[in-house]
Amino acid sequence: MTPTVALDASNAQRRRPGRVGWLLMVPLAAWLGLFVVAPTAIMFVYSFLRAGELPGQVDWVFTFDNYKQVFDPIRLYKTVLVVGTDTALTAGAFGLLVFANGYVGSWLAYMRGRWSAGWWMLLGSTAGAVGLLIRTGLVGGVTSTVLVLVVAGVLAGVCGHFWESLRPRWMSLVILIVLFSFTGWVHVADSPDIQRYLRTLVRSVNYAAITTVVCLSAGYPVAYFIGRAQEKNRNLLLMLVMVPFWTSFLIRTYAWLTILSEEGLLNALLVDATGVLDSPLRILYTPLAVIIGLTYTYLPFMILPIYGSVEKLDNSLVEAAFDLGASPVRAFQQVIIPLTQPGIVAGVLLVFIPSIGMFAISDLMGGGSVPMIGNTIQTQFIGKAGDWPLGAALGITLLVMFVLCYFLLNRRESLGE
Amino acid sequence: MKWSKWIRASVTGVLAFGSVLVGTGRDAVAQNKELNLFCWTEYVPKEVIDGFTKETGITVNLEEYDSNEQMLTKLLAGAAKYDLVQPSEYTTEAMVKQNLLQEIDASKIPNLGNILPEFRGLPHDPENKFTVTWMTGTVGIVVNTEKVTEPITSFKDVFQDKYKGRIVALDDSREIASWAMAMQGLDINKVDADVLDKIRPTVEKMVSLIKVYDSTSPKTSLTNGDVDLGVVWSGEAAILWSGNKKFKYVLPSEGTHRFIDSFAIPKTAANPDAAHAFINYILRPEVSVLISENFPYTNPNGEARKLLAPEQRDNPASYPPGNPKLDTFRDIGGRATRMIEDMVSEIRSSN
Repeated sequence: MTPTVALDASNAQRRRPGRVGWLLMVPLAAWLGLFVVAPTAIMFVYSFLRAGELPGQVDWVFTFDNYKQVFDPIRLYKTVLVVGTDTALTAGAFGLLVFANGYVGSWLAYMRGRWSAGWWMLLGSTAGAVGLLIRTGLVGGVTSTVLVLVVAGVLAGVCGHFWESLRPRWMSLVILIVLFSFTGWVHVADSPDIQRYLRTLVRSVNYAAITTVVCLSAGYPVAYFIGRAQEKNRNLLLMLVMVPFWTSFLIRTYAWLTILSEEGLLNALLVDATGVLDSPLRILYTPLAVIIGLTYTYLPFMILPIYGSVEKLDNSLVEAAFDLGASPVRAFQQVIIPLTQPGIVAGVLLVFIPSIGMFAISDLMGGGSVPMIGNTIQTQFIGKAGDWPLGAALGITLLVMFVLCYFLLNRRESLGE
Repeated sequence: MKWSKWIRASVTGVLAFGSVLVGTGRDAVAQNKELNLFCWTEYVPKEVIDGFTKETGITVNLEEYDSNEQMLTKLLAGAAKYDLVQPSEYTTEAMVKQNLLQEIDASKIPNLGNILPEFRGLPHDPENKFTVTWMTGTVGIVVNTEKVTEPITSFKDVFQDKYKGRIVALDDSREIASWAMAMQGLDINKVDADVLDKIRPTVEKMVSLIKVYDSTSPKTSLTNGDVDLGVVWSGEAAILWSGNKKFKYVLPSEGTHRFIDSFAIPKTAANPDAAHAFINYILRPEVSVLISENFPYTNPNGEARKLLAPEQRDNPASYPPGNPKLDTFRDIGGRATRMIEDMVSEIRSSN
């Protein structure tokens, strides 16, 4: 059957959009111009103005004051020093741990058999968990300590285990370690040397990193399971993942208030119904509540990209690994993880970057006492401050930061591979 | 053949683009058949709005805010034209200075006489040219007497170390600063760098003890039991008290301020006649009683007060007994407001 649109051989070679192509691009260009370029340009102009008398008014006077407020030079230097040394220490310590875990583990597996490697993994994971715990000091109380211990332990062990598979892609490992080390910044945020807005930014990155790490460890098994489920069940399972999106985002967040509040469902279960605890858990209006809210909101954003990668997995490669004598764990770490890496990277980006700027959850579940950079910017525009130029300057700073990160990441990937 | 491709592409492009605009298009509305009401959250009951629409046929488009600055920002942005706004007293002062309000035509509001004389001729509008008083109230302390057995009579009693993490406060930097100023006996309307330096340690202590900041509905965390003490609007306290007598309302001994919220018509209002009609409607005693039933603040309408149920009139949060020492906020200018906001948000972010 002849196609309705005849494909000209010379057309295919030209590879440039004809008149038709350009015309079809008009809606996209208009959308980008109206909703991306224009607002950014307006924000850029505003960041150099001075705030006027009433909120939202500006004096048309050119000034660098807003950027000076965001980047107080002396404190910026101290901030970089404190944060930089902290990251280096944590990354270094954690990196050493992962290396030790992986190297010794694989040596033990080779020399003494799988069972001793397993014990080593357990030891290494516990050491990693304890180290991470000491580093973060994020949460207090028994329950939260156990939570952090479990999560950190699993992740440290897993990282070590995959050291072998990630070794060819050492850049990814470095990124993973640096991401992990972000979680240790929380005490850094209390240092008086740090400039105020950068302190909030550090805190926001911290929470976003923890959210990403938790989403990754919880989301990967789910995505893997759905991807490998039977064809007829896959759609149903995917729908179950997306059902929360059908309700309003605010209502879902308010539901968490009912669950976590002192006389809410969780405490009713633990204190009144079963009597496991004597006094109710005070989770709400703390950073832990904000992280719970963020994780809950962004978990589907981690599951769906990884599912996409897992679905495209070529089963014959896994079978080949088994045929060559790999154990299931080995096949997982050396074949499946590298193959699903695009999905993991996409998921991490989709969770990490939006959660930095999220302000609604930290407002509702943090009760206004856990300010993130999104809240700071929101206050400048809608709240009492009414200092639009300062808000614009903060926004442009965030934008530049993201663009820099993106370019660095891209460059690294092309070099590392 | 190429022509049809061209036509198809251009039609698709135009349709795709046009559909975006069509969705946002709006028919021209006959003047004064609509009212764009911009008011505080939890302040104008739905029954009042529905009653007004039923009687006059004017549709009311309701939009809400929970801080005066939010209202100003949206009003000045100019995207939506509001017919009625509800500024507090210091915001009204600023708006009058900046020429943002239009004069109220008293001849269109015969019910204006219902307002008690003590609520007319106030400092922010001495000649009653621009505003009609809606509701007033105070900012004071709510105590959950079941959890807090000690007597609480002042800000100092509230902000003690033993109540750390059990306090809710309004999410308003100027309010927080004014409580610190009251605690140190300073004038709440004199704000400069020296004053802010003086109150900084007090504010730091307060912020370290406060668990929740909420201006929209501070009663939520009190009823949930997440906090035991709060410094909140009097209407919230009144609702708590009528729900459960364990919530006592106390006016702090160091002195507090009362707020006066009024209706005002912005200069850019599209339906000023509908605005006047609405003001006249809510000044009717039976309608005003409805408002008080839903949001028990201090009602300035004398005729309405006569129709209140005895329990409402006895509510100590709505109608505080005695003659408490009450200030009002004055307009301190944009720069001073920003200095307060700067300091308080810096302290909040370093906690």
